[in-house]
Amino acid sequence: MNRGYAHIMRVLCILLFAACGDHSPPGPSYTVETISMPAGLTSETGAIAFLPNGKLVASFTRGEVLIYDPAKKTWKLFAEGLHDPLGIYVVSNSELLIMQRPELTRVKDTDGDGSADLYENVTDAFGISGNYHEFSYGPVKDKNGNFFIALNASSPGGSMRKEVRGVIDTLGRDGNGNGQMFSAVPYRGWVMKLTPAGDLIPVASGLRSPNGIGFDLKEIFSALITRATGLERVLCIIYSMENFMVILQALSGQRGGTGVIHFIYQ
Amino acid sequence: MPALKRILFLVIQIATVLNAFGQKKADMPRVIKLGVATGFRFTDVRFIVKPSQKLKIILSNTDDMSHNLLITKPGARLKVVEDALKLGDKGPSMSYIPKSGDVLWAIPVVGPNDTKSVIFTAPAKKGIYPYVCTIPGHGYIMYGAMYVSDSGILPDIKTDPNIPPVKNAGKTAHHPIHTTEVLKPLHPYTPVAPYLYRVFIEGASPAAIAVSLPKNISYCWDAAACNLRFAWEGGFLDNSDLWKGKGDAAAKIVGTIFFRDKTNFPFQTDSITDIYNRYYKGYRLVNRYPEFHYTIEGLDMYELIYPADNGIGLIRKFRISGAVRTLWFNTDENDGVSYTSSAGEWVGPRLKLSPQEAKQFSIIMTKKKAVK
Repeated sequence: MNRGYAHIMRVLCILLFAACGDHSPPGPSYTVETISMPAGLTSETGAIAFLPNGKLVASFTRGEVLIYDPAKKTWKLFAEGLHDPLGIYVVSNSELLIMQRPELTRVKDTDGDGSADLYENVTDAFGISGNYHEFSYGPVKDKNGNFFIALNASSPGGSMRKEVRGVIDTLGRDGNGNGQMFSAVPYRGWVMKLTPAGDLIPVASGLRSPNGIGFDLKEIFSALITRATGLERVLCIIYSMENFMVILQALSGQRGGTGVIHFIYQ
Repeated sequence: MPALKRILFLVIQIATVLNAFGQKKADMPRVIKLGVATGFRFTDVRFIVKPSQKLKIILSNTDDMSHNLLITKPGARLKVVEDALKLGDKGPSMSYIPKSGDVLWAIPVVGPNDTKSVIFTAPAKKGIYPYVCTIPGHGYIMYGAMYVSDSGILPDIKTDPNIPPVKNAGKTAHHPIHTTEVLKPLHPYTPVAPYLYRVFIEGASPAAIAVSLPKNISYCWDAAACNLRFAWEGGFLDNSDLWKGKGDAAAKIVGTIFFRDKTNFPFQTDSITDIYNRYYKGYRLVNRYPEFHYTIEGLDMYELIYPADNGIGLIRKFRISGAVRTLWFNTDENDGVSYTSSAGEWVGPRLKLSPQEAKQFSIIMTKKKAVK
């Protein structure tokens, strides 16, 4: 079995195990199906989603977006050349919104040949310093038609490129700039809201790697944010953004802009 | 203190130190230094020691994330990783070291740019003792093997099942390939020019787009600058640094750059001489060639780039809508190419285009014969 896929399955199993607890009664079950990946793919998977027609769409580190037909058990190339596509929002069978490093992109098949020919910039109103850690996540859509995207903070383990996008402001970097995560171009470490009018508005800051955003059942403000393995917190704590801002204020300056957040969503 | 007494005291001190040094040298531990490489990896994924050898493992955390190091009984790595995960909220305070007989020795969590070590005596029993970082999520890929053996011989690293597999890093066919390297395909298909990568590349913003054209010509169009930045002949890109580990790298150009824009942005109107507000809108593939779309000051600009028919160069096809004034296209004599155009009038290094001419025109750039 493919390594990347196997790893995802392991992580899923762990999360499910953690979610179920030791003594919970058996709940609804599901079937685990192994899908073999196309030959030649380095399947470091960025995002997975389902199309309305039941097909599976997935994006990979080297920029491919592939669609799997469960009936035929075949993979087909839908799009290519994207920069670390880590999030897919399905608009229709022929149209996806894909979060890649430089922008949120509308990737669309306009001529019906099964592969995308339009790569439209939906928003790129945020900075990139070129630091490797500046992964971008999302989008998720709320009931009012706003999209939320999440932008990683930059890492002291990486560099800033000579030429960046956005205005550099190093205020808030720690002493020698080597110790802690930082946000030296606009909105690194922020969750952003894209309104239907196309304005990109910052809504929550101080996040190191907000690699999972979603909504609670009431769908009040509340994008839920998970955070990847961090400086000293465990994997995938879920935070509620509503409470976030307050807590971050208390911690601002402590960690070069990326606070250790002590609120856990309940 | 009399001088003689002082000298005697010093001699005794030196003798004591020397004696201690002699003793220490006899049972001084062998030092094994480990760092952290990109992509959840110890810098050494295996090493060999002798049974009952005294060892000191020093873990220097050169990563931006915290890591620990646990040495487990043979075959117990995954069990220890899962035990560490079960610590839950207690994990951080316990340095993710589960209380288990399977854990032989441990270096607690080491923060970024920090160093910690552990001293122990290697097991008398020969075997393969895994070492692993048990911070949640890390343990499945961040591990290695301590071989305890008299022989000093390690199995072939390419097939060693006790170490994490090495990632396949991308190299283009134009990149010189080391003879022992196995060339794996870069994608589940063979890219045929024209094709592109959005990629980090030197000489452009982080929002760059690198395009491979037929005739072994490539160019970099920058979505932040809304402009063609440079072009090269030869191969396309070597993404191997970019695609291995965490990707703290840029794609390497394979070939020779023959054009580099020196204007910052070539278009200018009569009314405005300053830099325009440019908004990148995206690209559409026309027979797989990208046609870029951006706006400046109310103008909709489209640019589609083909390889030149003759010689090394590019044909840049522009469509511009909304022009009501004269439009200028500026060039620089040191940018490596000579210019012709399908419309407009050249005034020195500048092409003057009427609003009508600006609607659709081509600029052909050809590599100069002798570039100084």
